[in-house]
Amino acid sequence: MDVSHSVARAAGFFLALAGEFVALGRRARIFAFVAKPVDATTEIARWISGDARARPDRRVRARGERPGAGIERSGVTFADLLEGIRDLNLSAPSDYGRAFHSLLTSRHRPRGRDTVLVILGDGRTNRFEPLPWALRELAAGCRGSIWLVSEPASRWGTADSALAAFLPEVDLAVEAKDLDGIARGVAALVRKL
Amino acid sequence: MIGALARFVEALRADGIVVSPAEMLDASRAMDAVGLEERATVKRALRATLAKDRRQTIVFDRVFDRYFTPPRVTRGGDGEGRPGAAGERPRPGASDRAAKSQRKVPPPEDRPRERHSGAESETRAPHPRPSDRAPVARAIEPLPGQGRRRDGRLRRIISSRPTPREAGDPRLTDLAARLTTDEERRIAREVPALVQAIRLHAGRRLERARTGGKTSPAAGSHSSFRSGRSASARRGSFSSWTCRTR
Repeated sequence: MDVSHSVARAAGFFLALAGEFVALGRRARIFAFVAKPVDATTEIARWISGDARARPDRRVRARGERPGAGIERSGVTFADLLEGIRDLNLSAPSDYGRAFHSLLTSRHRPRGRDTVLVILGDGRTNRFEPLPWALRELAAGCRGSIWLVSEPASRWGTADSALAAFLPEVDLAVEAKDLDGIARGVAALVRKL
Repeated sequence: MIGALARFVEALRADGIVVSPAEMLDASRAMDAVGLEERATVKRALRATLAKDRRQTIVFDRVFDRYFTPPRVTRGGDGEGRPGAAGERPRPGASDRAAKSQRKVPPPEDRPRERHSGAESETRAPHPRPSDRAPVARAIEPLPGQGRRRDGRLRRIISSRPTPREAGDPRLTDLAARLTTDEERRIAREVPALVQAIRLHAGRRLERARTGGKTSPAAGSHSSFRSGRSASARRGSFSSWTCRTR
């Protein structure tokens, strides 16, 4: 799940919807990345179940409008949650190739005949090498793969977007530019489970 | 031409044919010798220099036919079977690297052309303008005449509903746009209703699946008996459905 600035809002809404349908921790794991994937399952599961603690030191600080600041669970916003995830560098440039490759070579690599790989992001890799083969291998080890694209289809593959390389590697692509699109993606995921 | 040959050799390597640099030089010399006028001659020359045994010959023929697709002739077709559909050059807007990894077909101007009679060439469908489709759509559109997708797994794209011209529906607000926290909260208020909608949809689907495509009153009363709740109360609880079906 890409949580960079442009995608964070879609990621928050996706989690708010999908968190109701998957058993986080036991059956599902969530890797948040901007450049390097970080296993954020514990923090996000806690946030979804409403057990996350608010971080007053961060919340009182004056800030501009941050994406995810309006998505709230038990007083903790998604923006705060992201900032609280250890080792997650939110100001790094997005690098999907590196994220997929790290996931592929890590011991947490998602695979199995009952595993569904869900990727959320816009595929904008800042001209870094997209390494579509890494995604291909990840998807090949799973029963199904879904990509929720947080952009309108008219912008897919334009400029630094590497979706033209990525999308052929997954089974299903969902145009998730708005809440309605994300809900369609979650419904497709629930159907696959 | 060398560039097109190099890309073709890359495609051969991707399909398991080992081609050394020396063999590639041989192939380029062979192409110099035979010229590019006859597709069949070019194919024979490349096959003689690049394919080493019978197995490789079969692979070579397949890759060559896929790679150097001859222009198709269509009568009145708009997208299907248009000439050079398999070998479009990536557009300036597209990511070059992404395009390179996707397209194994040389650009039309590098490709040996099959000769057609004048009457046939007049009936060719025109090339679509570059602005007609997004790069991704071209990467995953069906191969002309074959009815299947390009290489890859993608089978389906779920498009979202078109955004209305007048803003207002929070479910259709573009999330990548600049939104204030209050606008975000307004969108977030829609989440419970959507969760419920997905739940009901999934519940119905699982019910049908479990009873073989038909609703069964007997199965409903059995599960009500087990769970101690009525069917209508049960329907609202997604966890009870998923636990039993997994």
